[in-house]
Amino acid sequence: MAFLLPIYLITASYLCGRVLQGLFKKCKSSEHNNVPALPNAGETCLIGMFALLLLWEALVLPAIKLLLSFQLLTQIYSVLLLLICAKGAINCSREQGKYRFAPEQNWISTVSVLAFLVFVAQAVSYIFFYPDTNNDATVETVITTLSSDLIYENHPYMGSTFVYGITFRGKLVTLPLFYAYLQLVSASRAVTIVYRVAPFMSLLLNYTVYGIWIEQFTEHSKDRARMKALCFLVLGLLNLSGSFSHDSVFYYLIHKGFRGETIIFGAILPYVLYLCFRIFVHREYRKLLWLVMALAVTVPIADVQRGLLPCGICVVTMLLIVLIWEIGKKVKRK
Amino acid sequence: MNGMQTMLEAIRNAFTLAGGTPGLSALFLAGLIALWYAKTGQKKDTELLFRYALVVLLVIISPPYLYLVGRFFTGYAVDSMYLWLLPLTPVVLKVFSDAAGAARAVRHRIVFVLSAAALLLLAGTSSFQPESWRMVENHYYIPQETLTVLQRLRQIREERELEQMVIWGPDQLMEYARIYDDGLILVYGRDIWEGSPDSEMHQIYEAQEVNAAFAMEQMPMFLESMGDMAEQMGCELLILDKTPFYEQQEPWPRLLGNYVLQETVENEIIYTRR
Repeated sequence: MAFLLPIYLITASYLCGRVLQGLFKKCKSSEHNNVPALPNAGETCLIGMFALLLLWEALVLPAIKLLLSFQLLTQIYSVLLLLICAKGAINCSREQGKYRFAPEQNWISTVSVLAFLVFVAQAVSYIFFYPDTNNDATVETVITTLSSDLIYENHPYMGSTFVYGITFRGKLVTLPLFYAYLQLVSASRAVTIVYRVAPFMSLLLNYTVYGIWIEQFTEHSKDRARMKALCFLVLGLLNLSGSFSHDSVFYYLIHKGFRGETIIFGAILPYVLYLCFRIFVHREYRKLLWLVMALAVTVPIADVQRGLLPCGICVVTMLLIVLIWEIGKKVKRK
Repeated sequence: MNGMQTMLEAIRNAFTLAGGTPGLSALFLAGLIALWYAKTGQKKDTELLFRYALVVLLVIISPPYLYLVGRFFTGYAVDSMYLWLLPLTPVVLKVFSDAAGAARAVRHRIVFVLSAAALLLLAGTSSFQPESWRMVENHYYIPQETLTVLQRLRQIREERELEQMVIWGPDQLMEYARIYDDGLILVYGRDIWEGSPDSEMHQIYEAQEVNAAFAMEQMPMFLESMGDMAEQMGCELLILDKTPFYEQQEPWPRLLGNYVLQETVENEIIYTRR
């Protein structure tokens, strides 16, 4: 069952993303013969995943305050998710034929096969090798939450009740609880979810975000499919050959894929950077909403210092650069 | 002069951490130069990516920044995660996609792909290092020897019809105990010997638990008092490692305070409370 989870998560996040994109329609999309192109599926999934995690956070925090059981929390979440997915499915069926679906031509080539093999090499490593679990209590948190049916009341390493309790800042990080939810719905082992499914999802998110970047880089390219495949090959090789330090994002992607920091630095930060480009350079101000969502989703994923702060620094730096640039332009004109 | 040298050393370290290997650092710098060259083509995206990468890099290796982080935000410096703000991947991707676009003939493309792969693999450090790649022995992700001991512990708990059972044992066993059986309660957590107590979990250990961890680490020295310590902590089972006994060529005791020897499993000796 655990191996069906990625399909479940991708479908749920895609439908959820479609609902959100439906709410904030009229996002700029390339038009061809007055038929708008289908919104980028990767970006839709990404936004949907953010929404899933934010919804989870919005339910967990009051549940902690009200001392609700974890079972009840998952039931409420499942019902809400089902409703959102149903709405997403209705949206999809209604919008059938509204969008132009233009799949890439000639996408099977030697380079794309190579890129796929490199991706498989990364994904397979999660099944056959031990992850780096230093200073990590994710699996223990999942197991403790499910066995006690309480949220952050018991010490994950010891199993007994916390003597001094967990800080509010610590409680904000709800990603391990989301893994516990996934274990509950898939009825599989915690280690399978945390050490296999979660890193695979992080890798998918990483590829999704850089897929959006690659889409932009190869916009005017003639042999687009091959160029994209080449970029994905380079991305995979960079992931595999970037383990120069135990603190590098590439090392985290391969050895600590289940950690929140991996999602932050492997997916959210590059997406924030991409959004900054779209907002500040292409003036797509509607994307501000996705930017706010991307910044907000760092809170349930990792500690504020390792999530929100770096992403905030990234946005502020971009903003300052654009401001200085614009001021420089005006001064030049005068 | 000395201060200057220290600062230069700090800049060099920051740059090494940021770029990783000299090869990847060179690739990143080459990418920046390529972006700077491309920016003359009036591409706004490229220009902004170049400016962002340059500003972040210059800030990260600037002496005032290194001084401030080193002096006032030491925790942040240790994390070195601020270095991840560098857009290494987008820069490398952009440069490779532009360079590939220039290769028109098929043979040029083949040469380009092969040299790109070789460059990336040689410039970086492979993830497939023998020390970081250990094959999983079972689907619990627990070393097989430890798993055998844990299976026996669970059996003991079930035989005694206990929902929860407090145990105290060597680090190697305690590390995996709760992953295998959530009915096992430990007297202290992994964070105590990994040196990260009072992290986000905010568990502040009492002197008793800290002493217990130290006693288990230096087991032969504290052997006589371990039975009493275990009883004070309410342990059902006390588990000891055989290795120190083998090293000192001494037999393990049959009795430790109120705990009697029950059995030995793999490299562990299991004592149970009377």
